[in-house]
Amino acid sequence: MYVKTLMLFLILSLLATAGCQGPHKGTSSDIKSGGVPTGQFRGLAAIESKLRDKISPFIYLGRFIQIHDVSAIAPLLGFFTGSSGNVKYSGGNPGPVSMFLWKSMLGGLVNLYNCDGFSGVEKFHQIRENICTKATPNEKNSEPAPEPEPALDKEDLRALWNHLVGHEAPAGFEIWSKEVLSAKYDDANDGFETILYTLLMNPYFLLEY
Amino acid sequence: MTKYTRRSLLKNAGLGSLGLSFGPRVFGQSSSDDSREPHFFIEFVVNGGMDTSYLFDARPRVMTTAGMIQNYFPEGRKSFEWKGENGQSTWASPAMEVLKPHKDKFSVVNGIIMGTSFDGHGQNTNILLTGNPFGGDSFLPHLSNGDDIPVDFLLLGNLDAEISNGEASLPLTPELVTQLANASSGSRTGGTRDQILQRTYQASSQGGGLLSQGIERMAAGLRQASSIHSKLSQFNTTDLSSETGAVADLSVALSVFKAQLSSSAVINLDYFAFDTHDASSAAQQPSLYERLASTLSDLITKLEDTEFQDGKSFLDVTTFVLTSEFGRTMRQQWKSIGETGTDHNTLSNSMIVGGKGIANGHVFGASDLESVEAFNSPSEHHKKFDSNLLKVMGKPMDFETGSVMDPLSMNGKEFNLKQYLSIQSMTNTLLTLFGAQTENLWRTSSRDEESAPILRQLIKK
Repeated sequence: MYVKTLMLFLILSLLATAGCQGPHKGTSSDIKSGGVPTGQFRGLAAIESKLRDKISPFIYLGRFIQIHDVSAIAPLLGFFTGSSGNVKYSGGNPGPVSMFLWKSMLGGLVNLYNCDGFSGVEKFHQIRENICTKATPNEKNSEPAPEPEPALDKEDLRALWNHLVGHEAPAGFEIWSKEVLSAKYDDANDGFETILYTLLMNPYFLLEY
Repeated sequence: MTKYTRRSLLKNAGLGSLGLSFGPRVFGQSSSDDSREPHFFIEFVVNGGMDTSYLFDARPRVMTTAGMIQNYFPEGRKSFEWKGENGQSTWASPAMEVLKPHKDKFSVVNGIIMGTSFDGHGQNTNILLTGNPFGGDSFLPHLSNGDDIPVDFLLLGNLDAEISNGEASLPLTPELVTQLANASSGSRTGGTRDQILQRTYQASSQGGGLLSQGIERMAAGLRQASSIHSKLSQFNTTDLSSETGAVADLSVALSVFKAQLSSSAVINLDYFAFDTHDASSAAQQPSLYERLASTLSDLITKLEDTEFQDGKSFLDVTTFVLTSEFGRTMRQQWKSIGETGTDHNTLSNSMIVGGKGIANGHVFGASDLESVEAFNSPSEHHKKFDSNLLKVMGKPMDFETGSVMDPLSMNGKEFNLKQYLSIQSMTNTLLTLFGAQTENLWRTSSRDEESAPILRQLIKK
C-alpha cells in the first residue's frame, strides 16, 4: 500500500513538474537583482526548483494547497514573464495573501518530509536523521540506564542551513538557530517540522538578498 | 502583475452556510470612525471595449442613415429617452429596456475620457485600475481606508492589468476559493512556529534597507495570513448553489465580503466578445448588449436579494460600477455603414454606477457628435484628437454644477483634461465616496500638482 501510494505520488509529481510551470528563464538572481537585495520573493519557480534540488526532486508546491495549476497564484509569489532578452519579474512583494500561500504550501511540505516522512535526497536525509535522532526523547533503553542523548546543537542546525540556504547570511543563521534551539518540542517530528518550517519561511530562504 | 485564468465555473460557496455575524468592529469601516457602516465595492469590467451607443449613449437613426455611426438594431427597434432625476437625460439603446425596473438603483455616466494617447486593451485596463497605461498602484486598496482586512481586493476573471500594489489581492475563481478553503482547513502551521518566525523576522529586519523592508512586509503579512487562514476555513464548500457565470462570481465575492476577508472586488465579464473589429462581430451587437443588460439586471437582483445582515441587502452596503477599458469608434474609415466593425475609442467611455452612497437615478456627462448638426461642427479639441470624426468624445464638464458644457465653448482654448470628465475624476469620486485619504487621489497627469476634479453630484447627499 505504501509503495503504491509512493509510486502514485511520484508519478503525479513528475506530471505536475512537467506540465505546470510558468515561464521561467534563468535564475532569479541573475535576472532579477543581479545580486542586489530587493526585499522581494525569489519567486515560486525559483523556490520550487531549490526545494527539488535540496530536498526532493518530486516536490510540487501546488499540491499542498490542492491547486493543480499554480499559474493562478504564481503572480502573488513572484514570477517571470516574457521571452529571452525581455524577461520581466513581478509580483514578488510579500503580503498577507502570499504569506498565507507560502505558509500553507511549506507547512504542508514539512508534514510530508518530517522524521517519519519521505526520505528525499541523500544529503537532506542524512541531516534530518541526525536532527531527528537528537530531538527524540530517549525512552526505549531503560535497562541499563541510557547514555545521555546528545543534544541538538548549532552545528546540527548549521548543516541544514548550509544545505538549504548556503553559507551566506551568517547573521540570519545566528538569529534563526538561537530561536529554534531555545524552543520546546513535543516530539522529534514536531521538532524537525518546526526547524524545517521556520527555515523555509526564513527571509534568507524566501527573499532575494 | 496580477493575472489569472478562468477555468470552468463551479458553484459558489453558499452565503447562508457561513453563519458569520459582524462583531463590534464592523468590517469595511474606517478604523478611525467606528460609526461608519460597512461599505463594499465591486467593479464589473466588460473586457474588450464597450460600444456605449448600445448602452446609454445612443445616437438617432438619422445619423446611421447619413453614414455617421453604425447601428445594427433593425429599424423597428428604437432608442428611447432615459431621463435622469437631476434633469439631464440621454438616449438609451433598445437593449437597455430590461434595466428600466432598476432605474432608481444606479446612475449613468457618459463621456468619460480614458486618455488621448494610448488605445491598447492592456494599456487602458491599466489606466482604468491604476491611472497609468503601464500599470502601477491601483486605487482599490485605498478604498478600505486603513481597515484591518487581510485581502485588499479580489480579482475574478481574466484581467490584463499590471498592478504593483496587488500583494494583498486574491485572484479567485469559485473553484480556487473552494480549494484554498479546503487546503487551509488542513494546515498544521501556526502557534509556536509562527511565534518563532515573528521573533526571527523582527531580529532580522534591523538594517533599514530593501531586505529589511521585505522582512517587515513578511512579518506584517504573516500576521494577516493567520486571519485569512481562519476565515477561509469557515467556508462551507459543500453548500453549492446552481449559479453560473457572472452571478456565480458575484456570489463568491459576497461570500468573501461576508467572511470579512475583503471589501473590494473586480469581476471581469469576459464571457462576451465586445472587441468587434470585424463587421460580422459588430452585427451581433444587438444580442450582445441585450445579454449584457440582462446580466447586469441579474447582478443587481442578486445584490438586492442577498442579505448582508440585520435585514440589509448587499445592495444597501455595496457600491457597484460596470464599465470597460474604453468605448468604441462609430465606424471604421472606408467601410460602408452597414458592413463596418468598430475600433477602440479612448475619448469617450461610460460607467453605470450604483448602490450605496450614489445619487442613483441620475444621468451625468455626455459625448459629442450627438446629432447630424453636431457632427458637422466638431470642436477644435475634437478635431485635434480625431480629425476623421470616427469617435465620439466626452463633452467638457462644469464640476461646480455637474452639468455638461458645449464643446464649442472650448474653441480657442488649450486642451486641459481637467475641464473634461476623465477616468481620473471618476476614480477620485469613488475614492472620496469611500473616504480615502487625499494623497491617494489621482492627478490627470504626472505633471499636475492638483488632483483631478471630483464629480460630487454623483455622491448621494
